[in-house]
This record gives sequence, structure tokens and C-alpha cells, in this order.
Amino acid sequence: MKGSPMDSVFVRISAVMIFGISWVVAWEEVLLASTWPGDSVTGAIVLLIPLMLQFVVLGRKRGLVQLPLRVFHASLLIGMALFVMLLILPLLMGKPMLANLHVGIAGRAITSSTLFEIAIFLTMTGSVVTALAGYRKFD
Amino acid sequence: MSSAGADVPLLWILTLTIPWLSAVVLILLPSSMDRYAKALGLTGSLLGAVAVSLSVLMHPPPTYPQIIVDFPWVSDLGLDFVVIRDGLSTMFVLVAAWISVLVTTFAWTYLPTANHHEGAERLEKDFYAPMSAFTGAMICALTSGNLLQLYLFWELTGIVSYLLIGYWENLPEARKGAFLALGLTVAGGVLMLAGFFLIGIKTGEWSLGGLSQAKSSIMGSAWLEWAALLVIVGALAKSAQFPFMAWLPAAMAAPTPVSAFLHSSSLVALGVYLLARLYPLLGASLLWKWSLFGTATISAVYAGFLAVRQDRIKALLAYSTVSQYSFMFIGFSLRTWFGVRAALYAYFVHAFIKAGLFLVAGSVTHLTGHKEFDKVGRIATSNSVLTLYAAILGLSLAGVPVLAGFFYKEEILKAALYIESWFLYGVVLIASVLSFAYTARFMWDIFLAPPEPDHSDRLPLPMAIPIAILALVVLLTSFVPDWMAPILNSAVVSSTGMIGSFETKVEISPVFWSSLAAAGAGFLVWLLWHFSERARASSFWIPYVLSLPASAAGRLYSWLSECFLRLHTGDLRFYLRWMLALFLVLTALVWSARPFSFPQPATPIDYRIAVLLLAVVLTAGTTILVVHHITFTLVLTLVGYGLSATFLLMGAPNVALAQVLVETLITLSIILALRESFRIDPDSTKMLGEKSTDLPRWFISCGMGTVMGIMTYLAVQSSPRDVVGQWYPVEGFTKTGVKDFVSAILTDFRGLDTMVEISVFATSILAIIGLYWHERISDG
Repeated sequence: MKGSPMDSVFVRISAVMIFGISWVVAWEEVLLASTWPGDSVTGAIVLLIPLMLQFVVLGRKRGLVQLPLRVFHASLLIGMALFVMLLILPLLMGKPMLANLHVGIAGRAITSSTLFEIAIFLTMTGSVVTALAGYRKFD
Repeated sequence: MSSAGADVPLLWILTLTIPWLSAVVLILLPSSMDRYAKALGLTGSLLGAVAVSLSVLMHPPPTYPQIIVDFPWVSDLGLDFVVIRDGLSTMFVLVAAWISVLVTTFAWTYLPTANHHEGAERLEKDFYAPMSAFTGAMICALTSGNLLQLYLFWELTGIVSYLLIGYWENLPEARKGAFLALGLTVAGGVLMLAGFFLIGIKTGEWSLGGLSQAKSSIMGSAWLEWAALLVIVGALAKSAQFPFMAWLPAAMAAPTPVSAFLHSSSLVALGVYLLARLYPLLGASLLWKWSLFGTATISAVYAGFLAVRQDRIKALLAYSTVSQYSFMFIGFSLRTWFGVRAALYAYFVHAFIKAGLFLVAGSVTHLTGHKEFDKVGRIATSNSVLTLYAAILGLSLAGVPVLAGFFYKEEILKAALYIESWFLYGVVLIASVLSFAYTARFMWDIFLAPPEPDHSDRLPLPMAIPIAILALVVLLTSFVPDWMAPILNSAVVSSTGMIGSFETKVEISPVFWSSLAAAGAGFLVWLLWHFSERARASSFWIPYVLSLPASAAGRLYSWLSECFLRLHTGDLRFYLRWMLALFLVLTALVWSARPFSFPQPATPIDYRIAVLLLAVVLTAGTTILVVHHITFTLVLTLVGYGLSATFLLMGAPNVALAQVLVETLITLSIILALRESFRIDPDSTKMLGEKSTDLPRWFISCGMGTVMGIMTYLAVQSSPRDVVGQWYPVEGFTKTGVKDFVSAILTDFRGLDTMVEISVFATSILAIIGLYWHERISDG
């Protein structure tokens, strides 16, 4: 993919700043998702839009170089593993699948729906980045 | 059914789980450790086979389905995860487990040579992992105590077999064979599922135990006929019977261990298992009798004729398998205890014979490098031991009196004679004649006829030992034909519910003489084929009347293929027009069948929303007319943003925000994909020419950003309407302890929906991973 005419120092600096802010917003959405009307899907999209814009601006190859692909592949696998765990774990405890489990950690009550939201976030970001990396010129 | 209580046969559970564990380990095995894959694969299959054998020795299987595991899943719908164990499932599991061990051993030295010969650079773990997974899926299907669970593993075996048939993905015939096998078996499976749904909805029962208890109340119901027909279609497709038999010869592009395991004794056996399992419920129906009667008759004889004239060794064995499996279907069509017993006996003996013959075929290819009859010959001069094994197996298949195959054919003949079904008796005899003819061809052309082999190599031990074991089993069956009687009796009782004993021996009777006559006639047919060129002409060889159903089926396939190909124009507008037209037609049909009136809207619709909706509909309609790719993408984006504005006006700002974000993401994704596609001229993706100034770009970018900013601001500022429903917000926290009731809905209240969505999501992700992996491999 050729470099975009929009590639400039100003655009790159803006992209880095926006990307950084979007990470914060995204994780805030995810971690609050099960307690407040936050939404892990929204969080994932908030992160992915700037990411995609980077691809548009810098071009695919350059965009890929800057991405820690292994991290996103790992997040995809971890997300899917979390889904499987959340499907099976309640069954093993005699509850319907995906049923919320409440766990106390360091005096705080954590619900498995938080893990569910994290799983959605990890899977969405991992799968979209994997798809982006898989785009290529097929004959 | 009764529960096993505290005495749960751990061994049975290990039998189910070991293959899956082996598959997972093999999948996760790093490529650098691929040399250990064969050892891991063999260890997994051996442990599983030992586990099931010990379970049989220590806890002989009961004749009724004993519940080993009963996991509550969706108990309100009567859907639990149930694992059962009885004589029927045990017999099939034993055969599958031990043949798995033997073919895995065979693959030890076969696979590296075959990979090199086929020019395939595949990791061995890519073979052993699906083999283990297939074994696991097969055993889980055989031990499922629930119709939907059975269907799940039924299709899983088909999916994994697709991977195995297409293992040599560099070969076009392997890819084609894999697709054909998957397509035909899944098509049959879907119809079978419809039959399962009919049974489940009409009886309210999904578990096999519940169905056996409800049997007496549903006998004679009209819907049972249709359920039987739909289930039989699934069985026909899986066992490659007419009109679905095309996939089995095409699947011979798979490595020989796959053919020996899946396509002779396990995957195709699932059809037989299904008939045996549901025989008590569906066996009394007339459609059961006549559909099996008709299809098995055609399969037995037509496949037999086709087998004789094949040029490739494994294709002959494939058609032979179709023909032999039709004997089992004939047994079930008789609807007697004798017929079921004969069918199950035939399955058991045939599994070992055919697995052995496939391994012989693979050995011949390994020794000579060829797969065609005219390129191999006189193997007997260089490999006398292989010839001996092949003779034992081949003559058994041919039905030579007092060898193993003779006994199971005798049983089928006796079962037909028992109810004086002379037509089926004749069909089995004709098929037996043909089985002698094609087996004679197999033996003569490979082992005795020229040409001389180029070189004489010894068969490696890992390849020779499994063949020897299978030949020994067949020889044992020849001398003691009812050595498996305890297992077989238990299986027959499990299927029919009727107690009886199995005993067979050589008896000089009319059946014996007709079997002998069939063998003699088969020899003459082979002589005719061998010496008469005219006889080998297809118009002479295959009687016209017999080819009529097959050619009609072939013409139907061709016509359907042409119709589907015409629909694949590659033009998105064409697809959209069809989708829209079908949507309107279906809506009209539903409306005419069940007229409904539009409910009062929960929120008052004002003119702004009406205008906006109209604009969205018209914009969506223009997608049919738009040609330019980027324009098309932007029109779709406008549709999405228009809907978002509608949500905003309706007082749902959170939905509006989510819609804006999703729409933006999709737009960017499509644009990126378009720019990467070779099929699209890169210049056509530019809306602005190279020579244009940056001003239009700034205008568009700022404009889009401003619009999105305003919409976001409006969304944040707007106040939501009155709550539509109170139940979830109130009950969500009370019942689940989760403050966000949306999360509570997803996980607690609507868990089944979410599970389905996760499955769909996971499927898309697999496609994405495949796309990425393909790109990585292509880049080297």
C-alpha cells in the first residue's frame, strides 16, 4: 500500500496523542462496564478507530510495523479463552452457563461480568487488528 | 435409563476425553517439535483404546443406555449434556478406537514418504491433531444421550474430516474432494436435524431415554413417517449411499490412513449407528422401509458395477465400501431383529476387512509410487507376506465361503429369507457377485498381473504390523465367526430391545449354495471383464436401467450447480437486488399467512423522525444503483449515520453514539480492504484526482469531523425518554448482583442467546485467523 499524502509530522503527532487518549477512554469503558453503563464494545471501537486511521494515514505496511502484533494476537486468544472459561465455569459450579459469579478479592467484590466485558474488548481489538494485518493483495 | 450413581466408569470418561486432550496438545505443539507429533498421536489413540477396552473388561456394557455423565445445560428445554454407555455405543467405540491405533501406527512411516511423493510440505501435527480430534468427535457422537448433542458431534466429525481429506491442500482433487464430502454430508445432516427437531417438538423429548419412554404414545403418528425419512437422509449422506455416494470416491484423495479410518469404518459407520440407535422409534414406519429398500438396492448394485471398472485402486475400494454398506442398510430395511443383527455383524466384520484393504492399497502406493492398476503389478514376487495378508482380506471381502466376509453376507441373506424378501435376497446375491468380481480384479491386477515392479522394497514394520493385525482379526473371524458375540448381542439388544443370541457357523443350506454360486458367478464376471474389451465398455458394463437413477441425479446436480453459478456474478448490486426482492417477497408471504397490525409506537413519531427515516430508506435504496466502490461505502455510511440521528431524536442517545462509532469503524475497515484488493483498480478508489489541491480533502475531513462532533454533543446533551421497561433495571441487580443491567441481561437472563452470538463471533474470528495465517504462509 502506498504512503498516504496525508502522512506528515503534524498528522503523526496528532495520531499518537489521540491513540494514547483513546487507550485511556477504552479501558475506562471496559472496567466500568459491569458497574456503570459503560460498554466494552464502545471501548474497543474507541481504540480501533484511531488505529485504523493510522493505517489510512501511514499506509498498511508502516501501520503494521508500529503495531505490537503479538500483543493483539495474544489478546484475541486470551479473550476467546475467557469466553470459554465463563461458559464452562458456572456449569461446573452448578449454575447456568455465563451466570455471574461473585468473587471477593482484597475485600472487593468482583463479578464475572467484568471479565465478560474484558473478554469482549480483548477479542474485538485482537480480531480487528489480526484482520487488518491479514489484508493483502490477493491474486 | 438408570444413573450410574457413584460407580461412574472413569475409564469411559477417559475414553472420551483422551483424544481431545491429544488433539489440543498436538495443536499447541510448536513447529520445531513436529517430530514428536507421531508419538503423541499414537500415544493418545492407544491410551483411548486401552481405556475403552479396560472399561469393557471391568464393566461389561449394559444392554440399556447407562448414564455416565448428566450435565445440566438448558434443563428447561430438556437439553442436558448426557453421555451414555451401552452395548451399541461400546461396539462402535471399540472398533473406532482400535482402528484408530492401527492407522496411526501405519502413518508413522507412510506419512513422511507420502508427503514427499505428493509434493506437500505439511507438518505432521496437522495430520495427527485432526485425527485425534476426529476420534474424539466420533466417540462423543457415539456416546451422546441427546439428539442435539448427537447432531453437534455428527457435524463435527464432518468438519474435521474436511481437514483430513484436504490435508494435501496442494492437490486440486484433495480440495475438491474435501468440499464435496463436507457439502453432501452437511446437507444430509441439516435434513437430519430437521427430523430431530420434528421428533423433539412433537414429543417434547430430546434425550434418548425420554424418547424410548415416550415411544408407545407416539407409534403410528403421521409425523413419524416424515421424521424417519429426514433421519434416513442424514444416514444416507453420511454412509455415502445413493444419491449421496459421489463424495466417497472423491475423498480418496486423502492420505491412506484417513481412508482406512474414516472412509471404511468410522465416519461412514455413523449412518449405520444412527439407524441402529433410532430403530426402536422409527423402524416401524413405512417410509423407513421403502426409502432404505430403494436406496440400498441402487447403492448395492450400481456401486458394485462402478467398483469393477475403476482405474484407481482406492476408488475401487471406495465404491466397494458403498456397496458393502448398502448390505447393512438392507438389513435395517427388513425391520426384523435378524435384519438388525445381520447389519451390525456386517459392520463389525467389514470394518476390519476394509481398513486392512485400504492399508494394503496404501502400502502398494508406498512401494511403487503409483495409485493406478495399470501401473502396478506382480507385487507378489517381491512382497509375499503383503500378498498373503491381502489375500486373507480380499477373499473375505469377496465372500469366499468360510472366510469372514462370507459369514456376514450369509447373515444378511438369512435375514432376507426369514421374511421371504426374495427381491432383496436377489439384490444381495447380485452385489455379492460383483464384490467377488472387483476383489478378483484388485488381487489380480496388483499382485499377479504385469507389469513387473521397478524395484522390490520391503514394507516398513510400522506399516506391515497393522495390516498383519487386521488380517489376523479377519482370520480369527473366519475360524470363530461369532467370537464377538457378547459385544454383538449387547449391541443388538440395545438397538432392538429384544434379547437373542448370536451364533453362526457354516451350514450346508440353500443360502450356502447360493453364496457359493455367487462366488462362482463373480469369478466368471471377472473373467469376462478381464478378457473382453467389449465388456469393459461402459454402455455394456453398466445396464442402462441401472444408470438411469444415477444419471438423473447427476443431471439434477449439474442443473443446480449451473443455477447457483449464475447467481454468483461478483456484482454487489446484483446481490443487493436479489436480497431486497426476496426480503419483500418473504415479508409479503408472512403477512398474507398471518396478517398483523403495527403496534402503537412507544414514543410519539414526529415529522422529523418520519422524514429522517424516509431519507434513510431512500439512501439505502440507492446502493443498488451506485457503481463506484468508495461512493457505495460512503452511501452505506450515510445510512448508518441517518439511523444514528433517528435514535437521537427518539431519545436513545447511547444507542446513537454506539451506532456512530460502529459505522465509522466499518467505513474505515471497508476502505482499507478496498485499497488492498487487486481486483479493484487503485485509481478507482480515489475520489479526488492526484492533481487536485488539498482543499477538498480538508473540507471533507473537517466537515465529517464537525458533523460527528455535533452529533456527539447532541447525544451527550439530550436526555433519554421515559424508561421503556422496568423489569430488567429492577430485577437485574436483585437477581444477579450486577449493577449494569445490560451485562446482567447478556450473561444471566439471556445466556443462551449470548452463547449463540459468541459462537457466531468465534466462527468469524476463525475466518479472520485463517485470512491472517494464509497471508503469513504466502509471505513465507
